[in-house]
Amino acid sequence: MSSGAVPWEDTSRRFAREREFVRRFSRRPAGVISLFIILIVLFAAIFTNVAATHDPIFTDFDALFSGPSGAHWLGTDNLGRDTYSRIVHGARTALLVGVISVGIGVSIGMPYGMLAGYLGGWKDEVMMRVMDAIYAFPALLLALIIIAVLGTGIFNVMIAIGVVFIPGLARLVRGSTLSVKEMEYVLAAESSGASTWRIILQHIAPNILAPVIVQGSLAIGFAIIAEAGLSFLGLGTQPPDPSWGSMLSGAQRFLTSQGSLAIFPGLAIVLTVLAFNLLGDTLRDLLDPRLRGSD
Amino acid sequence: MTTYIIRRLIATVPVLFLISAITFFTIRLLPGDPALAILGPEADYNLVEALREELGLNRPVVVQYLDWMYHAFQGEFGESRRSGDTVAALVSDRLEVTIQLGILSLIVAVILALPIGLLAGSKPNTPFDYLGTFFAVVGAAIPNFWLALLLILVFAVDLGWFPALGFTSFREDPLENMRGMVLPAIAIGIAQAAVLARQTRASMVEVLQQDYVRTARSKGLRERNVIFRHGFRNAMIPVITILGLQISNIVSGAIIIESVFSLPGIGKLLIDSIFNRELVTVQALALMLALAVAMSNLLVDVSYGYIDPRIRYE
Repeated sequence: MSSGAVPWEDTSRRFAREREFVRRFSRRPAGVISLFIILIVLFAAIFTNVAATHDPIFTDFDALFSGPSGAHWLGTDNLGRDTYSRIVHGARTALLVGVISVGIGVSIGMPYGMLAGYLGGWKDEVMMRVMDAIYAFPALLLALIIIAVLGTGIFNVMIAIGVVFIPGLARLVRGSTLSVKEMEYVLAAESSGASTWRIILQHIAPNILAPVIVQGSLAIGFAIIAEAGLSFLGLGTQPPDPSWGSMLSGAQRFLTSQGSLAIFPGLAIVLTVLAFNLLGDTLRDLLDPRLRGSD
Repeated sequence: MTTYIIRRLIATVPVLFLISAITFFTIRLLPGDPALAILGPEADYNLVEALREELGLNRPVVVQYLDWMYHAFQGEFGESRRSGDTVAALVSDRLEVTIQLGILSLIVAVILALPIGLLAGSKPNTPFDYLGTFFAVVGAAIPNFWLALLLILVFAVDLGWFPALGFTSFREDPLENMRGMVLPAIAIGIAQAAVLARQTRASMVEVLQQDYVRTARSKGLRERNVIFRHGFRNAMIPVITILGLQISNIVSGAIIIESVFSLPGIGKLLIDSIFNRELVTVQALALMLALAVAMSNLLVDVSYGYIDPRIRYE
């Protein structure tokens, strides 16, 4: 057998573990329903042209403020644009911002936290004090400072929300690293002369993924609300591009006469965020019950 | 206790300095020229250079930081280019609104969360618990600005109980002031209540399983006494930590909700300053808000030490 081959028993055990995870996940109705909702939103976000019934920025002046009908399932807005199709296209914006901003947070916060935890001593102390200071900024305030400098727009919103996630993830990862670095396999790698980054990437990172996956899922929900909030304020997605937040901002102007415009985009946000939060809770219970503390 | 407070104060000092450095350097060092950000990308080169000189941007960045800090310590944050007012004056005019909104939101959160969490936690796996958990899960997923729109729709537009927009000073007309603050405070408070209720429930479930609670019950104490005197008081310890974190969330909430209800507070000033490219004001507000949050976290930590003696002896 070559040295790279995985013994038959190990492969079988690994798949058994995955089968066991799927079995336990399928017994959690909240997790299954939330995954189902996320898959629907994901489908809408990827195949917008299939899921949407109209061009989201097409203005139809013969159908201003029309109510739900066969032609416009959720009605139209002040410019006659189809609300349902704009919500479908808004799903793409929401998920894109959610995934990319969490990606930015993980790709910076995770190595940072692992390095601080692994190095320990005064280096850890200094690195974490910097994170504490960033953490002291209310999330929206930090995002706004970054947008104030970088400018408005969806790309800058992703960066701003991504930065907000860094300190929280760094703290979480550092904590997990502190316990993993005392494990025998890490000590063995150290004594064999492996470099710091090799130990961090090969031996520590794979063993602290569970809390990062859980936190990442919960963070996507937060990112979707944050993007919607920034677009609501006019700092995120710019008109006429559809975003759930900017749709609500438009609806606010007609609240007294066309209140129903504010209902559907908000429901889309709540349903999607709820799904990610419940998925995160389910994953936490299955992958890392130590993090529970609130159930 | 004094040693504990002094130790916490000393530990806060470097964080406060780091906050000031982050605020300053984020605006100075991020890609993009502050002078260009103020004047706009199509501004004349000579105008941009003149503004750079006026703002002192041509000096070494560390000198700029020390100069900014020196003035900030004296409460001088510069002037708004648009209105000509000092930033300190702009802030003092608006502080009252944001503080009032923050306090009212916290009251809404606590009034809702504690009974819901207490009931759910003391009767686990009953309809009370399921309802409480439903509130906690859904409440955390509702964006405050959408909730604000729904509240305006129902309670201002349909029922006409509260005003949809605007602000009346408390000194001018206390009743009208409170009417105007009810909906914004609920919009911010619900999400915080959801988090608090979840923590209160979890704490209650855990505390009520402790030996001393079983002893209290076996002594024949009435259930109400067991829950309030032995359960609730001890369950509050972790809840207070969460309450500290809520202050940061309430500031975030105020920034957006003040804009929805057109309340002339710090949050609305911040958003207006971003749109008007008033970076000097943005910088000052960011510093003040972050320092306020850090100081309130310090207060929570200290009160935590009072409530739970184990903390201060660690």
